[in-house]
Amino acid sequence: MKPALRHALAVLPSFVAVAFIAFDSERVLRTGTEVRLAVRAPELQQDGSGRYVRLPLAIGDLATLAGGAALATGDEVFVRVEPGEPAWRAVELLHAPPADEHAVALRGRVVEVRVGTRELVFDVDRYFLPDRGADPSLPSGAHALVAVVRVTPSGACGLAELLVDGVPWSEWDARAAH
Amino acid sequence: MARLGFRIESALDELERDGTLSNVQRAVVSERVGRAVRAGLGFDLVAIVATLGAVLVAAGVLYLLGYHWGDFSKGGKLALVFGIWAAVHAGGYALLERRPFVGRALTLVGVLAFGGATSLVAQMYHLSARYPWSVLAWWVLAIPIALVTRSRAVLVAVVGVALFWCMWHVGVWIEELPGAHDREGVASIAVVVLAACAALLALAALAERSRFEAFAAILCAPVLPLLFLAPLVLAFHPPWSRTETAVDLVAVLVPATIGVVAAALVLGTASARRGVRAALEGWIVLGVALLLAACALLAPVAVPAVANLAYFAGALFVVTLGVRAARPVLVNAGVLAFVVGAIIRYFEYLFSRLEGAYAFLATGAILLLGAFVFENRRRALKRRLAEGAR
Repeated sequence: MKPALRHALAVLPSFVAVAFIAFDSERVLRTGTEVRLAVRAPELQQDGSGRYVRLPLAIGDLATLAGGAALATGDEVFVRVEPGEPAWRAVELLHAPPADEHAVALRGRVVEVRVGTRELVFDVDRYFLPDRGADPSLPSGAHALVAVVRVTPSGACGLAELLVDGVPWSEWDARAAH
Repeated sequence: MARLGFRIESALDELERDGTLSNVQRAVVSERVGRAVRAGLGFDLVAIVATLGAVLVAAGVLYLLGYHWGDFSKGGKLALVFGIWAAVHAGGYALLERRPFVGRALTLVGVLAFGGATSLVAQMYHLSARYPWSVLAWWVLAIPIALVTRSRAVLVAVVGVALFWCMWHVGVWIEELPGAHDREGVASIAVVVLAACAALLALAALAERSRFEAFAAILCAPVLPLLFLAPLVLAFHPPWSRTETAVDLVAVLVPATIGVVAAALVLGTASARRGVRAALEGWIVLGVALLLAACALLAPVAVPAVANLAYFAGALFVVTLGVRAARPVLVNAGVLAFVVGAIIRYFEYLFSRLEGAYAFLATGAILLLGAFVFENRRRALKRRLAEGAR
């Protein structure tokens, strides 16, 4: 085998892996059903992965879900949601994707965010902000945040947009800058 | 380079003193080596200045891109990420023959860029994950690059990221489990680290006497500090004396079990190909890992005692190994580990008691006696080597 081909074959899997992440995320955003979910108590965080707003969804509050208190840390469940205003609401906790193909259910798991505090997270719980981007979580409670999420039949979801007081974050940030 | 020249001159002085080189031969060698060192220094200066310039230009370009990152479309961002990444790897390959140092450096940057590329894509799509699967992919997918390029720098990156991933992944597993499990979690991480050390020793045994012989030293490099660190974190008394409600020990020790099985497979392969003797250190380390895991499972109260025994016995073993192999690094590492362990035990057990003074006196006496014995053996070895040379 030629050295150049051998080198390329050694390097290629890394590119394929990252390309797959992008491709799969794009697939969810293009084929999933759009749902709008209310965000409660957003907060700005910064760590090795970047600067982002944590988005605990209202449908993840175990206290408001029937059967939520009985779940254990690490449990994987599906939350079926139905349209509502201004955001979709949770109607049922399931342990498998719903049989009805038209039903929309997000796959989540129970995590302990602080000692004694558990909630459901759905892998759409952070919105990355540029370094100079305005923080929509401040002042606390001043803005209504809605996460626009795309959900596939398997329950996988992707965050398409973050609405701040009804407008996409990029528009809100541009207005805030002026 | 100047330091290298100084060390060469010191070695030449020693060779002249013990009669290996005459003063004429010494002068000739010194002059020739001096010319080579000066030539090397001149070459290095140009390369260093050029490298700094290239690094600054690259950093400036990246800074510009980062500043305007929000202005690019998603497709544009992806094109930039993959384009720059591919260019780095292509440049690394192209320069491997003509400029090996620069080529290998670019290849290393390309390997490390996997982390950057993954982070950028995650930010673009607002992705998050509980387990660090991307870090696992990072080091696993870098292994073929290390093997094809035979780059020790890439191997250092692979080993470093792999060890980091081990501890991170196990930590998340422990956190996800219900109930309080801090001490069992520490035990699980310590056993996984020891299993990783055993696997590294096995891989080093496989690398020796093969095309990848240069990898053996890199694979063994993190073993010594980790071998001391793992039992040290388990040697503290308080967490293990608590009587607590039962936790799901089997679930907690799943990562440790997986680590031990994986290490056993690698050790078995090394033993089959190179013989049991070549992989013996790895089997011993795995045995210690199993002993600690069994203690944590069956007799938690005994964990500090077993961990202390493993730690101090390991320190003495490393010192003995260093003396036998005439390797001062091992001797110094073993002595340092012994001293650090003794000091930590003093502060844990005896800080406010009179026994502390006795413990210090006894430990100090042991160390002085040990130093006396080792120094005598070192001088005897040196005399034997000098007599053998004549």
